[in-house]
Amino acid sequence: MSKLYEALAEAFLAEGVDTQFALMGDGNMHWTTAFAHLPGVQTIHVRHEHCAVAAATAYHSATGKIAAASVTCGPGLSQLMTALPAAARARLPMVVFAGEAPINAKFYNQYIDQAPLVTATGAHYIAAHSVPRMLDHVREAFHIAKYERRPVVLGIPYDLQKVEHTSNQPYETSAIYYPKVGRIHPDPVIVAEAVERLKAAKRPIILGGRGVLRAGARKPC
Amino acid sequence: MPAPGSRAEAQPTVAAPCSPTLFLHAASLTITSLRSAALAATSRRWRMELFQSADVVLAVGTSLSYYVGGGHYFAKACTIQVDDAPRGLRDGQKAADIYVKSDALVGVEAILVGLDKVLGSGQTDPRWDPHEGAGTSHRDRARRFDAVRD
Repeated sequence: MSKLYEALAEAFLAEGVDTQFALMGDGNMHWTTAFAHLPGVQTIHVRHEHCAVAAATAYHSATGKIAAASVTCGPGLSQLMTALPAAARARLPMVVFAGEAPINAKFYNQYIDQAPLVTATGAHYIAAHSVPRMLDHVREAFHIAKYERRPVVLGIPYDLQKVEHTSNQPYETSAIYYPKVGRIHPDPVIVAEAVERLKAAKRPIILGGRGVLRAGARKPC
Repeated sequence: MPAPGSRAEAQPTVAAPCSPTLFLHAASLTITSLRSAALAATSRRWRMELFQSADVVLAVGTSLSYYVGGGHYFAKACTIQVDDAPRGLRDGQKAADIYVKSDALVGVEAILVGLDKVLGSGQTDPRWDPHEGAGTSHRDRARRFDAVRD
């Protein structure tokens, strides 16, 4: 029987994470190690939590892949207050695996209320406190990150990470739940207005953002 | 009558229509090398002049946040935003003048079809010289622009 942190690591892999940027502490060490041992993944250890998120941001920008970082609870997570707003404003699909203080401990000196810190940056916070629903929390995190294009911090108390994983159901990825809406087509009336403006232009500039790449832009044949 | 080679004579050259120019903005990317930083610094002035002289900006697949100008780079231009999630008010300021809510590729194709109808299929407005700057790097064009300016 496997531990929950192993199932969590496999769920991240199933969601397409192939590289993690991590700074280990007690709150994420089990998950980080389990993920690092999975086939085909790369673990990059950084020296500051800020760097974990900043590096994951750059990784997504360079590769287009889902970004993943991992930090420990409390003081580890509080170091993200500069990198996370940048990722949120850039509308980056990113999931940060963060430890949380042990939920069953009477006292833990690293405890802080992590959710308000994270939401203040513009990122989404999921407090994953239900063991039976733990993989649902992972799926929700990736769904929000990929579909809404915003960073999500998944906070899991590290005593819960170490419980036995009893479910034998295969993990369903968030992609199954994406609404298939196809490409969005423009309103012809608005397009005609844009064409008129462009036709009359003397010094037009075309400014391309990341949406150009997401739409499949390529060099002309 | 301005003297040959004088600044007065050079001005109309600067103001002449130029080809549409594509920028893939890197506002949210990390500059990873000194080479990139040097290139950015070299072309910054040229870029700013170009932005300020634009009369239409076609912004494709960009949220037009504060960091991408938000109006202060190209305040005089009519901005057309092609984006799947346009927002009229972005970072406290108007993002664009015309919002084409669309996938970037489909939106651009629709605009190209519209331009084909009014200009002729596959034709370019003669004011947009497609060969202007052909075969030269942005750095060369920046140098040439600065030479004319100075």
